[in-house]
Amino acid sequence: MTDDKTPVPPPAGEPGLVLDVRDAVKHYAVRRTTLRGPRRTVHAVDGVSVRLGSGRTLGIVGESGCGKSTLGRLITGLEKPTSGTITVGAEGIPIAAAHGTGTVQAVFQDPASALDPRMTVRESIGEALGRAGKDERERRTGEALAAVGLTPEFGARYPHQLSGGQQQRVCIARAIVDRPDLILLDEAVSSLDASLQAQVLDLLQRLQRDTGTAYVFISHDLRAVRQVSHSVAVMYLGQVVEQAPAEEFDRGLLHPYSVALRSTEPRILDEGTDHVERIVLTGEPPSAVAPPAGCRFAPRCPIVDDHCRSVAPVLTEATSGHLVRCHKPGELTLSGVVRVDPGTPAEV
Amino acid sequence: MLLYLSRKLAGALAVLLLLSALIFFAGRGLVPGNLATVLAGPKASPETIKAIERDLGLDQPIYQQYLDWLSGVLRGDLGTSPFSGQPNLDVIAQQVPVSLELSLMGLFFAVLIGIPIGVIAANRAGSGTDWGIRLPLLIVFAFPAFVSGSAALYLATHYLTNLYSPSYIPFSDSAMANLQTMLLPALAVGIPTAPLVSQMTRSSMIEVLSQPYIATARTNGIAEWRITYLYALRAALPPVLTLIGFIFGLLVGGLFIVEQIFSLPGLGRGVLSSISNRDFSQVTAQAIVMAGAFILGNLLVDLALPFVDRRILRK
Amino acid sequence: MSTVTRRRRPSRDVRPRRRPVQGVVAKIAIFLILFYAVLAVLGPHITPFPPDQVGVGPRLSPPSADHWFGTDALGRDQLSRVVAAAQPALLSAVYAVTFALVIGTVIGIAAGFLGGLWDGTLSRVVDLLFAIPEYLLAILVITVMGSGLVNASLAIGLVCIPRFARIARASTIAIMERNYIDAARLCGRGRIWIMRRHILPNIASPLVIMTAINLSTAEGAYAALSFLGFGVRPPAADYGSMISSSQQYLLTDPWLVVFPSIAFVVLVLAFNLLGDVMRDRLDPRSRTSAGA
Repeated sequence: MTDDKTPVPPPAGEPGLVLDVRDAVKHYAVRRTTLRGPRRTVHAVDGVSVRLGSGRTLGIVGESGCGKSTLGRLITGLEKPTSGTITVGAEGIPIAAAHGTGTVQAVFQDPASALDPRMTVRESIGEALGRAGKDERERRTGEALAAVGLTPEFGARYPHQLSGGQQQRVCIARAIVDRPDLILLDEAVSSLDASLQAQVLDLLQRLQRDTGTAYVFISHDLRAVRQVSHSVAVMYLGQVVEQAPAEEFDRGLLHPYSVALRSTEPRILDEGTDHVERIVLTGEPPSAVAPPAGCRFAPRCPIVDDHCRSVAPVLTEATSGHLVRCHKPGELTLSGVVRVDPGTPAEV
Repeated sequence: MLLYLSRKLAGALAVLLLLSALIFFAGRGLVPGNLATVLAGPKASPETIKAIERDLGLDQPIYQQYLDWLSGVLRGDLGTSPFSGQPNLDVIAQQVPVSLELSLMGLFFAVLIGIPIGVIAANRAGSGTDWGIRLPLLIVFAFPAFVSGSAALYLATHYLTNLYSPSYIPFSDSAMANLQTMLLPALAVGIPTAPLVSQMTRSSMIEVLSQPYIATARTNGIAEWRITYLYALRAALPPVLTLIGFIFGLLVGGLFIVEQIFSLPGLGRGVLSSISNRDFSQVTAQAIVMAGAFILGNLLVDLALPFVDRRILRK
Repeated sequence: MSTVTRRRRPSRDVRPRRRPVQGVVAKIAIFLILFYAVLAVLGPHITPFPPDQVGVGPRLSPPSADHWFGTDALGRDQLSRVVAAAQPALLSAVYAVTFALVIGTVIGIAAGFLGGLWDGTLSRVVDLLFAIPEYLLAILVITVMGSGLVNASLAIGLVCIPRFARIARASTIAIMERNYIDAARLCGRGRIWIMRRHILPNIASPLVIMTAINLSTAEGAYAALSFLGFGVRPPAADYGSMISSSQQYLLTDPWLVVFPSIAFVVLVLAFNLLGDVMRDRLDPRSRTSAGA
């Protein structure tokens, strides 16, 4: 049942921990719009805990506004969490202290925005090599360019002289050049067209094999996430609703939201043998300003009942390493609603 | 809406408060050395100086003097000039109508001339006609009020003697005679401001004319003049209206100069003569009235904006 | 159908056709400004008579072979004075705009970059400054500091600060949303580096446009203040004060007003044209809007 793009098996031995997020919360205050209106907050990230070992990739998937990008900014230290702790490296250095030391790097969605239009490619990549001397910087910039498949001549060019794919390669070169422990890939291939996506994903996987860098891969595209990740977390309205090793995602998804996401993936007709029903979610996700009292997915869940609407489920371990936040895990499958004993993954 | 109003009102009050302090201390800076000594004259005895100090509250600490002055202003008491002995309010009451009339007429001309030119230029944007319109505008804009005013005065006294009468007559005495005095100064204030209005109208119109709904209106066969003047102009007006607040500032500048050139007994000329007389009391009173009127004008523009463009409220 | 095509908004393909006009206008503007700059530098060395010396000719003489621009009531040579006045005119504009550019840019970048309380405080101050009628503020400041070229220029500069601060702040905020700022932070680059290497170069074009536009405003404002008697101290020549002191002879000896007015208007026009062309060149959004 696995794709031919099976994730690279993790290196032998227990890999060291590079990222440990514990109960991260990020709230934003919203400006009042009426004179007597209440001061409100957006719960962008609401109690997320994830861990990641070196050389591994954690995929984070969810629709826009689910808080995945905010989580990414917390992980990189670009924003400070309202509460919770985020540490990087095996020694557990708080991200606030590690921020700007080159331990964590990032590749963003829009390469045109991620490169200063007034800097050459060489200058942009060299930004990550603040402590290196001129010669060393020159050499390592060249190496990084070669590693992402660009010739040294690209060093003298400006971003507007490059194609989108080339720009994104430059961004990757900047991210890897100082050999960080962790790279955040925030929708890093989403702006590229399909053939380029595959190329860049291959490149990222090859680089990970060579360097052992850990990735946090954020995307709305579950397919791309599964392809590169060892473990996947599905986010909905600021919370992780399901987290499991990537292989589990090919077999048994337990949360109705994950199943719905999976069911809408485009697929080649003869890929699966079973009949797959597209589960179309109705309505917009509820506002992160005023999350529903019970399960946050309840207003859109196809199998919701009264219990779901009043009591919020907690994230529990359904099977070994497979966490889910649902009162009725596994009841919705790709082939429709089935009655199963709670905790048993449904077969596709 | 209420929140928008209260924000704007609070902002206006804050500006006025800061400005009042600036005006007060600028007024004090006008008279070098000890104020009481200057007022008492060179041969005054120390007792006289003491008496004057007590009389004017100059023995109080400066912030106390400021607060006293401010509370007076808030109660409508603008003080009495120690130089002329006249209540400042009486002097100002005669000057305000002149300046008010001049600036309103100036604004009227600026809009009357500026908007049509802007609309025409927008319709011809990018063509040779466009530069043909822009260049003269830029030239006019390069004429400051003191040059255009001098030119107008020259023309008036030499060729247009029927149009202009040099001595100011209040509107209430004779509307005709009043307008005869004010028409040319108002043009001198308005014309240099008109290019600003037309430039803003032009760029705003160009923006609107590029919107898809204008193209839709065209494909639906709506007459071009309707599109330009009814649809586009209406949508293009809000930024122009915002500009009017800025124009008030220019008009205030115009007042100083044009009143000087045409010898009109207005507030701008009053401020200048108070400065040259070193009449600190009168200058502070005049400046605060002028600033208050300016801020009030801007506030009115801010309050009018939501009626033209509802989107303002959501920002 | 033909009217529809003709009246369409100019799209990019119209641009090349406008370039020649712009090129000529730009050349004229730059030539004029350079001409005044030469006058300003050489000034007293090339005038036919010492500009401030009285009685070099008859009083109130109309333009003649000896005195091309005539003489004033004190028998000073008008041509010499008009040439000499180029220096304070250019200096005032440069002083005022440099002052406003430096202070305004620093305030704007700081407000946009630091955000939060900094932004709140700095923006309030700028808004306050902006809400004061310009000439009133300038006159009040001069009242406190005393008149003269430098003080008048600084007063004008103070008035112009909000324009620079606002545009610098708005552009900075737009740049801050770009991911390359995040990337630079992740690379361990400090605030100063980011402001200097990323923000300043990327907000330069709106600031250059603003500078060009404000040169003409500042020059006009200085002449107006000088007209009102707040500029250079007499007897030094200055367009504003020359026009002002000639007012009483306007009806009898108009050339006294005409020549300094022309000299002044041409300079302001050159600045205006420069600002307009700069805006067309550098501002991709308003390539069709005129400078204000």
